[in-house]
Amino acid sequence: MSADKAKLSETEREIVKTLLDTAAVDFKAIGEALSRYGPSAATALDFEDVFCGTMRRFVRVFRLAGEVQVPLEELARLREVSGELHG
Amino acid sequence: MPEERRGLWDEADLVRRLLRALEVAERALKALGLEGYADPENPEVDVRPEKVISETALLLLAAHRVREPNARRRVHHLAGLLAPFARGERVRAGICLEPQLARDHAFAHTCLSVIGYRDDDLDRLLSASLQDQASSGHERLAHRDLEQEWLARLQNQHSALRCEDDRLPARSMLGTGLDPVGCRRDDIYAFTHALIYFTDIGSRRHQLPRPVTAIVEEAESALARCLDDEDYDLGGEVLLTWPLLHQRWTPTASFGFVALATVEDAAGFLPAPIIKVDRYRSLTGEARSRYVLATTYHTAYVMGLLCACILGSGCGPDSPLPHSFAGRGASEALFGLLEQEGRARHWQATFTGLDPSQREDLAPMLLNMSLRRATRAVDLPAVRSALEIGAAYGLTSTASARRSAALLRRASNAAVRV
Repeated sequence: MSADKAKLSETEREIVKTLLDTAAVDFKAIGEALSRYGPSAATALDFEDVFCGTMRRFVRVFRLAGEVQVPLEELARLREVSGELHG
Repeated sequence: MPEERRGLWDEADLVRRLLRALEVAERALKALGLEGYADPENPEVDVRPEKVISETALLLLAAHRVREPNARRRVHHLAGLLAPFARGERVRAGICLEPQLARDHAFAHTCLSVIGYRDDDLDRLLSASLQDQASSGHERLAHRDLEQEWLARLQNQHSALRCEDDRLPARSMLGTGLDPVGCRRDDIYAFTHALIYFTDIGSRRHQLPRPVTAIVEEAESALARCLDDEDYDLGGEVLLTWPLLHQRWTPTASFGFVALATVEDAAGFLPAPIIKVDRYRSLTGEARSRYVLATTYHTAYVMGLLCACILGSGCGPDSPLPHSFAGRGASEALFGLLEQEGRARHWQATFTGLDPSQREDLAPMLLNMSLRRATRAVDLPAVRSALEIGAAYGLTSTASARRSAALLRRASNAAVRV
């Protein structure tokens, strides 16, 4: 048995499959909800506590590795804003 | 080798930039000082009034050391406007109810006191709160502990009371060191803020926990990263390293200031990614004005803080940038490597506008950028290519080159074990 398979028991795999088959987990709703907090959560959430390891999670949300870069607007476009800023 | 004549950046230009920041501060304080701002369309745009008040106070604290008459007038005008926000009921309640955060609540009040605007009643309330046993019941990061010590120094500057932890600077980024290649944004933030607090915004010269040359070298790496990311908020803070430590500006640092000033002149302000022109256009009247201030005031303050610290310390960037007489070609080779990536950054236009002999001294910055990009992309062959160019031109004695070489060695060893 591979290391990955050893992490889930037969019952746990069944639970995951049932959750997917019955659409009990609304991934669309989760995505929409998380998108509201995505950028701030990326810097605010702590790593999960794995000390006890007694929890079983059936929905996991992974953050992308590294830092997400939000690009600047073009400077020429921002010039339009400058008038409002400086009055 | 001929001795090159080097001048400093025009003082009038620095004053002009500082005055613009102080004008923004007045508008920001009036528009955001009471209720802050929250954009219903974007939860990322959420500015608490306490943040605006504290940051305005920090800007004033740095600016009040500038002797230029217009700047002095503006500082005192703003101090009068700030006082009701800094010492209002919300602040008094916070100091009273949360002794562990008392100095944070009193941040702006403390800065105003140093500038010369005292409030003895609030000082008494603060002292009483700090005497409560609960005042030490809060755990902070090292740079935040340095901030608490700095605030305590400001509060107690007229008394002999001192209770500082001598080991604290060594535990902060000033002591542990910044990873020049793999550091995160938070690490650079911790570095710049540790410097601000440790040096009392440049007015205290105290024994650093490591040689200043090592700290400056890390600042150069962080600056290269910020310029390449077009992160001008953090880049401006990193540039504080030179005036705060009273160090002569290196070619990379001077170039960094030119790059930021060029961006500020092109946009009309130093921008951050949070401002969106489409959102701005969708708003009108007061809502538009508040949105613009909420999304731009912070980087405007950073530029003002930087100019104030330069003016206050008398330690500014070179203008024009120095010319190297070495002419070895390292800069051209590394710039070629960086140009291979599609999107051109703002700094590249500034760089190509320089004389070839001015570009040569920026080769270490280009190597830092190359190594950073390659490491971020986990592109180890690109790390190797950059290091090979660096080695060919004798640039690999830097911390970033050593760390990158160590990364390649670790990766190689890990691959062998797999």
